[in-house]
Amino acid sequence: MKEITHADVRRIAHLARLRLDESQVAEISAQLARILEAFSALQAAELEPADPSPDTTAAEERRPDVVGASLPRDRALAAAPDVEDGHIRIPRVLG
Amino acid sequence: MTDLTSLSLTAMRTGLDAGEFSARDLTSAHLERIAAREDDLHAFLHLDSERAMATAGRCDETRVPGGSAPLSGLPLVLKDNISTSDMPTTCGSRFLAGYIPPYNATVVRRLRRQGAVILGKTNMDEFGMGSSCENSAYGPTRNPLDLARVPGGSSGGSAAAVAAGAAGGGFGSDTGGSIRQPASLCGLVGIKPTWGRVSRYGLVAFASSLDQIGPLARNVDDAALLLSAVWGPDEKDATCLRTPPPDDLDHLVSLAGLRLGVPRQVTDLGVDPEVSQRVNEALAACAQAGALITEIDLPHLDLALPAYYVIATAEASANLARFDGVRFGARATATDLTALYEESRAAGFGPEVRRRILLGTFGLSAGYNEAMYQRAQTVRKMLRQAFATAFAQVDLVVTPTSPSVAFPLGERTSDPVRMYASDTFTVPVSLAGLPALSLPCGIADGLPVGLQIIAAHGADGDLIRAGRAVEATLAPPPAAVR
Repeated sequence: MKEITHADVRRIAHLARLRLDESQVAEISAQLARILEAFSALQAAELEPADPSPDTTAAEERRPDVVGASLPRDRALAAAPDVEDGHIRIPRVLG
Repeated sequence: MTDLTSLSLTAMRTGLDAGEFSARDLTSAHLERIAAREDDLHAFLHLDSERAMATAGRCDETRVPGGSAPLSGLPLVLKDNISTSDMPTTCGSRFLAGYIPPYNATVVRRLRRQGAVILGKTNMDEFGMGSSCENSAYGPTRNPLDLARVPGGSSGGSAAAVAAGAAGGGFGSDTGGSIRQPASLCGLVGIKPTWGRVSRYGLVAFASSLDQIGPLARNVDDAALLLSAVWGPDEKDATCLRTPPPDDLDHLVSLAGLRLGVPRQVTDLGVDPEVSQRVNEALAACAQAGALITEIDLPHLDLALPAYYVIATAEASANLARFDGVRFGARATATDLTALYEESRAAGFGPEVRRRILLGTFGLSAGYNEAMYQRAQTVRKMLRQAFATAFAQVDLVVTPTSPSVAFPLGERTSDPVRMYASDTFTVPVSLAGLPALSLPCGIADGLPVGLQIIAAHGADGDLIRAGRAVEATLAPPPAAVR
């Protein structure tokens, strides 16, 4: 696997919606490089052919799909940082 | 009068039922202990003294001699990632400072229904990401056995509180060792049940395929008491096992004839010599009591740590996407939505959480998914198979819980790779979804060493019964330094 670059870190930081300044990009690039190096056994190992079945516990029986009470609006909004008229307010999205 | 904070939960139960002391006595003794120790330890993020005393009062008023619910009146603590609708739930993160969830976790509902006295919420590595409790945005917790050392993590606050006599028992969560490792470092018993045994409803998610709630306590009986009060099916968690939990925990087993497997690969993975020695002495004591110790082959153990960190961080990168500054938590000032997300997250998350989100995003991203995430999932299946093969030969698998005893504060904070190595023996079990416990097995350098006992999938009852038998065979754990 090729080495992780500053450009890689900027790209994944954008994917993760995490703002990094340039000094953090440099610091994280170095740390991730060291972590990936320490974990290189994962890349080097001879792995057995993967079992194609999904990696979950056996599907258990499901409960009946019955409509129940939902969280009251005021409680759902109680922790929101910016609320107006029972809605969460965010910055303008459309021009 | 007896020091009520030194009693085991089972002794507290007996004393309460016999009317030797009241739940109010118990609660106030623990609140006094907290007042005396908290400045040194910083085990709590929120102390709920008034409600705790009120709950204790109700337990006293409604006490039915010998007939109270098992946890009624017992003073407990909860890790701060378990949602409580009447207390803040910060996950040790600045992002969630002051956040009060709109509902209780299933575990909390069950505890409250039984009259458990919840003293408060305990410190943790931010969102469970750490092995020392130093990654809390609110400052580290210290080990009550040696204040210069860490209590382990991420459930370090619960472990420190119980070890210091500031609570009779507590709950933590374990994703890659976060109950077992602090139990080991603080001289306690900690159980990570089979994945799905305890409802995760209301547990703030770190890595959903690995997260599991479990108890931290002074002995196996206490841990079993706590666990059996909260486990069992829950319609609010579709991944919670529908099979009923074991109900014959009190059944005593002898070690005679019990087959304990010791993976030969353990010695290659860097264990402190004194820790190894204590574990070998514990195994010798078990053999003396009739257990059959066998060396077993557990291939791929060395790949568990990288596979775990790839999978856990991948899941974390998705789970923590919800912390965007919109519906709850801290919001940064921004003029457009993307900037609002990016700035809120940059300001709210600490360095380890940022690192793990980025590592996880990297492992899932185009071009790296196959080399990282897919390979890690293959290793996970191989490990699961390796354990299944082992359990065809032995009843339980035994390893050290942690490669070292409690380490000094600050020793590993600047070296993530070294910190991650603390989880060498706990993460394989997490990847396989198996139940395991840690119990004290002696002292090295003046600090407790933990023995990890691992059982087959769903065999939580066998684990607890065998754990009790091993505990009875070994010397009693050290008393916490007061």
